[in-house]
Amino acid sequence: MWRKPWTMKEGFAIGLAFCVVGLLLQWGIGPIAWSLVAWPVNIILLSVYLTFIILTYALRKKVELLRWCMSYQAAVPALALASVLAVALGVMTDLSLLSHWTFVLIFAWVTTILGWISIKRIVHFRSWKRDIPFLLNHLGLFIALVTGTLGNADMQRLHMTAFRGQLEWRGIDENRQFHELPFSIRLNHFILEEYPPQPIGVDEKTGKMRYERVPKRFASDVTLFTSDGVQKDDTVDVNHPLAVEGWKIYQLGYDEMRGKESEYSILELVRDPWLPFVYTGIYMLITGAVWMFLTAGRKKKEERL
Amino acid sequence: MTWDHFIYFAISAVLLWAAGAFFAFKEKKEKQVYAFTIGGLLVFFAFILGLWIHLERPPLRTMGETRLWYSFFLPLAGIITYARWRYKWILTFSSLLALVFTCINLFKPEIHDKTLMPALQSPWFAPHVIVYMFCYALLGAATLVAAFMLVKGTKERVFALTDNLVYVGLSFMTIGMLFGALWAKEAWGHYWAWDPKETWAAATWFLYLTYIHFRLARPLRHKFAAWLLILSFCSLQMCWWGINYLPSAQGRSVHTYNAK
Repeated sequence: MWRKPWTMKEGFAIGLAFCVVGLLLQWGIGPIAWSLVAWPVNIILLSVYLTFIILTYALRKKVELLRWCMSYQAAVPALALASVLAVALGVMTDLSLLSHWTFVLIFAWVTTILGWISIKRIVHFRSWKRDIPFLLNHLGLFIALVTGTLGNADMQRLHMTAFRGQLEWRGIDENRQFHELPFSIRLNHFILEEYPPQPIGVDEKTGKMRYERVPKRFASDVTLFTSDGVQKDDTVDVNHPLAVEGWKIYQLGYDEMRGKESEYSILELVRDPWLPFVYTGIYMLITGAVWMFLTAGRKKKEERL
Repeated sequence: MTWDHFIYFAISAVLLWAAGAFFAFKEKKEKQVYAFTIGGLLVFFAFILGLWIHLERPPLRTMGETRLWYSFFLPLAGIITYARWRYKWILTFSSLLALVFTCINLFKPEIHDKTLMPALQSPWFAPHVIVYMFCYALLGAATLVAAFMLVKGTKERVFALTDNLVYVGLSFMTIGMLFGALWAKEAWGHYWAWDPKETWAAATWFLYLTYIHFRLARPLRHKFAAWLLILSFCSLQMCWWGINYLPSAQGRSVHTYNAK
């Protein structure tokens, strides 16, 4: 081990070193507080990170370690450890994966490798048939992971309880803090449709049949008042959020005790300014996957020729 | 059409698939292979369609319903592989696996009510689950081929088929996962929530990526690659149904719909 050229063994050793460092950080300073990277810290971090990737890429001819980092030998241990840690930390414990230093270090390692090899392909672009699918998959994943993680701190998720006939313009966050919104909402009517009641057994006390009532659809008829004075009637349905001034409004809940007679509707308001970048990455990955499906099995022949 | 009619459709479809698999071993009987296999697929799909109409919703919610699609996609993946690469034994594999899942559905159908909660009433629902089921079928076939090679010895030509199946399966897995992310944004406000099933799906995705990169890094380590494929498939099974039995997933997963 550690004799050049490096193989996968060194990759696993480096990965385990990251794990140890991650555990020490977790123990020493506690979980990662992503809220600290909110705008404009995240854009500065992103610039520093991209500069780091480009500079180290430029040094690859002088440093053998960097050339090894751009090989399959480095990719395999990084991916394997990401998988093991996702299961070990994500499913076995209650911790959020992205707040755990160990996972984030390995995650950053995978992402950095993706960054390096994407630059390498762009610099050494030869044929679109070979390099475009490669870049769609690798650069697409890089963009989605980096913007999704750094942008998370700028995402706002608020809950709003809108009472019938009343104007509401405040949302409450997970720390029970109120936030004012640039628009207001008035609930005009709450809609609840149910499936036919299903008998689920006999009540032992009363001897009557008990029925289960399952909602088929619940939605809110609302009027939106935007900051520029426009008034608009619309319906918020589950799976059909409304978009207004950079926010999305989701149907979340209602007074389940009163059902159809609910006096209020619970809405969720989400603002995610980094979403277009994450979606760019996601759509690149989807295109890359479709491409991979269409060309699987042909690649080998071309390589042999 | 209800689950009561399933046995008639299942037996006819399985017999047709078996006939297709049989003719694949004969010389110059390709027409029969296609006719029988596609005939079986049509019979099976007729049942799915009938059940869909009866339930007034796509049959994609309960475990029994997803197994129905799985049994349908296995011979479909088999016949596509056969048409593309002419492996004569692939249809035997896919038919046997389809038979197993059909039998599970016959003996333990896990039939549930007609209801479909509002969060599942989305145009993303059908593509998300169907694409995943097709992926499971392809990767199941790839795993069987790998297990077969571990017993009978590895061959370069057969390993090339395994890789092709994994590439196609992984592309479907990627599409299924990302459709799920796009749907989650519309339904729950965020595209990724580290729900136990999502976490396990990510881990499984990374494992299959490990496999394809390992094949590129060490093309001659066949045995290790075959074991890696089997391990990845176990992880996929965890993700599909094993997660329902995991204590940490109880009550906090948006993916456990058929828990009573």
